[in-house]
Amino acid sequence: MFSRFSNPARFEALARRVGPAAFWIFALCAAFGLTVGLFYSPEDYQQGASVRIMYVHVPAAWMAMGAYSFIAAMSLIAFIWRHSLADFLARSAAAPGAAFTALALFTGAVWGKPTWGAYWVWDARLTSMLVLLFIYFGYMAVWQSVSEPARAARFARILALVGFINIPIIKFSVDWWNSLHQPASILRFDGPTIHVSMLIPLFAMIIAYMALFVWLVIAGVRADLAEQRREKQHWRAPSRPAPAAEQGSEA
Amino acid sequence: MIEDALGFGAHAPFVLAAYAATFIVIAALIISRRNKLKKAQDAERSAALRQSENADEDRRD
Repeated sequence: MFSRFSNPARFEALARRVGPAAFWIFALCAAFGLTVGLFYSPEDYQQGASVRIMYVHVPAAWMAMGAYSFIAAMSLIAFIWRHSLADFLARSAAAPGAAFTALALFTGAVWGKPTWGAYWVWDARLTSMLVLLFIYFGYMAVWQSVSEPARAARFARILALVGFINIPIIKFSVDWWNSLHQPASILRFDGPTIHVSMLIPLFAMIIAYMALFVWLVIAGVRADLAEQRREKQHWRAPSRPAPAAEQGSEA
Repeated sequence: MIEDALGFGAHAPFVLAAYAATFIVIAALIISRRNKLKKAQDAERSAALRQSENADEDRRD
C-alpha cells in the first residue's frame, strides 16, 4: 500500500479528491460542534460554563499527539522504505501539530485558571505537553537549518523517532504521577465518563480537527510536490544564453 | 454585559479567550497553507510556461 501511494502522481490524484472532502467535513463538523458546544450542551455541575473550553481543548490535545504519532510513523516508513513522500507527509504535519500543541496549552491554561486557580502548574501532563511543543520546534528547525534535503530528512527522521518516547509519557502521565489534570475520561476500558449530551459535540469537534489536519497535510504535500516538479523542470531545461541586449546592459 | 448576553457567567472571559484563540490559530493555519499551495502551483505553472516558450523559440531558431 505504501509503495502504491508513494507515486507522487497517484498521491496527487487521490489528494485532489480527498482534500476538498476533508475541508467540507471540517467545516460542517466544526459548525455543528461549536454551535452545540457553546450554546446547547449543558454546563458542568462543578465547573459551570468553563467546561465549554473542553470542546476546543480536548481535540487540540488529541491532535497534538496524533500529529506527532503520524510524523513518527511516516519517519519510520521513510527510514525503512525510503519513500520521499513519507518525508513530505511528516514535514507537512509538523506545523499543524505544533499549532495544535500550542492551542492545547493555551486553552488548557485558560481552563486551568477558573478550575484550579492557576494558569500554569509544573504538572507532569502540562510539562510533557510543553516538551512536545519544543520537540515540534526542534523538528521544524532541522528541516529549515540543514541545507541538503537528504541530510535534513535523515536528521528529522531520527529526531521524530526519538521524540516519540514523549507520547506515551503524555498519555500516561496522569496515571503515573500525582496530577492536577484529570485522568482519562473518554478512552477508558469501562467506557467514557462524560454524558452523551457532551460527548456528541466533543466527537464532532474531534472529527473536525482530524479533517482539518488531513486537509492541511494534503495541501502542504501538494505544495512540496509542485515545488519539487518546478525544480526538476528548472534543472532539465537547457541553459539558454542571455539575449544580447541583456548581456550588453549587464556589462 | 457580554457575560449576561452569552449566559456564561463569570467564566465568559475564559471561554471567549479559548474560542478566540482557536479561531485565530485555525484561520492562520488554513490561510498560510492555501497561500503556500497557491504560490507553489503558480511558480510551477510559470516555470512550465517559460520552458515551453523557450522550446518554441528554439524551434523557431
